[in-house]
Amino acid sequence: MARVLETFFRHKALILLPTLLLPIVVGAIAFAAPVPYESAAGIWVERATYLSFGDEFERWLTPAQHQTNRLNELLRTRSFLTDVVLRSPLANGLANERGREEIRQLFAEGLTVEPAGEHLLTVRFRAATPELAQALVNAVIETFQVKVAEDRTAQAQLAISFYEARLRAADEELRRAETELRRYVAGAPASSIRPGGSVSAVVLDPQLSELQRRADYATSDAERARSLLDQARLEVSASQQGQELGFQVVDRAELPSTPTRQLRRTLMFPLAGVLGGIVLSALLLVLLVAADRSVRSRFELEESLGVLGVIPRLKARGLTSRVGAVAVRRGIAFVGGASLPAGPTTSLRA
Amino acid sequence: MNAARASWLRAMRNVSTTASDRRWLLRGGDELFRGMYTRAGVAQSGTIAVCSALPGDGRTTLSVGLALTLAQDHPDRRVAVLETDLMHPVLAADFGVAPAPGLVDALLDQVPLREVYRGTAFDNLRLIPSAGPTDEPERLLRTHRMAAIVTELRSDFDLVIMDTPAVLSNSDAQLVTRLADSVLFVVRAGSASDEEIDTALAQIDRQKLRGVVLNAAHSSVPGWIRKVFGL
Repeated sequence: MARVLETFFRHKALILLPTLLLPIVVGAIAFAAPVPYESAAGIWVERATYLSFGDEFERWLTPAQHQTNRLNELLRTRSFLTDVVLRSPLANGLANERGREEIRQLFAEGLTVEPAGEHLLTVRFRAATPELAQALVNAVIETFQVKVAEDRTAQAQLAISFYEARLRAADEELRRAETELRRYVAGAPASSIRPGGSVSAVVLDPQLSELQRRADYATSDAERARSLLDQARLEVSASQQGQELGFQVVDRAELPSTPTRQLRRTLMFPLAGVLGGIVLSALLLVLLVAADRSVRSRFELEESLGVLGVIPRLKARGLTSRVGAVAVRRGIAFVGGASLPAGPTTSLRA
Repeated sequence: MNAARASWLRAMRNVSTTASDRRWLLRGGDELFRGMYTRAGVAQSGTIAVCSALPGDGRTTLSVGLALTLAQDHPDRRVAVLETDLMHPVLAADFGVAPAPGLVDALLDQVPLREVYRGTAFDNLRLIPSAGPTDEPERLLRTHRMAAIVTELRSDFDLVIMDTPAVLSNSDAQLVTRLADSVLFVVRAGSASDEEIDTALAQIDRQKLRGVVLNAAHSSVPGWIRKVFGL
């Protein structure tokens, strides 16, 4: 402890320099850095009402959480990000790899997508200029809107294609069944068999009964398929018209007029500078203590040696250290006849 | 300690080089050296070698301080300071006396030993400057003549204080300490490292070592903090 204190007070200016200097430097850099502008938009979202084949987990997410997750995932893809950037003033940055990297960095640091309620989604962007912040928010929203619409359209097309194919198959089966029935009836004796004739004729002829049964089944199957197709078309039409309600920009991105006040910048950077400076100062102190292997006090001398006494340091002000040492020695010896190195103006201090 | 330093400043300001009123400029300086020789137990008679690990540690300051205090406290005893550092002599210049003839001349048998004694402000204190620098100091100190000189000094003086060269600078200090009855070791604060001190002490006969003096001690820690931590 004695050695640590001694080293600290001996070099206190040097040791305290990082603690004093670093917060000033860090604070100056933080305040000198351009203050960003933030623009934000609010979007109202609803859960999809059809073809929602998500897993059970999605039932527990609110529509806003669901869409937030979806948007954040999309933003991790190159293609979606490219689509966003192409709708913004940064489109030229995509020409080279460095520009693309800077854009990725800009989005990573500046864009925030988070739910602000069950149905409300907030998109914020911090950028160097207010115009850029607003343009990027709008670009993200537009691209996402288009993406959502495209996804819904694709799913709708898939459903309609499925039911159309099913209807075609049912119609084909119906035509085949009716053709077989007509052929059979045409080839049977004219007096006994008529399609739709007396019950006794159909019952008496099992083959006719089977053909009739097939025809009836194919007819009902075709009707069912037609009904499902009509229902799918109706749902798709309704949902596509209603998607505007399911994804609605309720608060458009505005042009920010003042920079964003960031508490972190104001408080945390200088505080971090102080902490960093303290760590550096402590390291410096440790290094200086370790580097000083000399004896500084009587307590550092071995007890076995026996300390006879301590002569205090007597410095000569205004003289070089060499001449000062001579002055001190002669000052001690003065009583015995030694001569001092200079005239009456010589002064020594402790 | 602070009062002593303050008086040092005032004294050095007010003194002139031609002052006939000789006094201790460091207040309490005589008591400081008195305590050292008392604890070392070297006040009676014999030869005392003062050495250190590195040059500039304060051997001459301690040698002269002890000699002056002993001479002042014991006017009935004859005290001498022998400068054995043949490469870096300072005594003659300090006391304003002729550097030659000195120890070198006595070792070369060119002059009798008594002719190299120099007087001081104390009647019972003499100086023997080295008269160096010389080309072959180690050769001179290894001669039988050196041992004979020390023997002769023992007969002329009750107490002989030998200011030796730095132990780690050359081997002359070892030669001189072998001729002494007691050895005092000086450590300058902030100068030699623990390893250098240990190396120097290893070259000295520990049976003769009477103790260590810490020179130029200074603490940068404020007094109230030292009180709080019990330093």
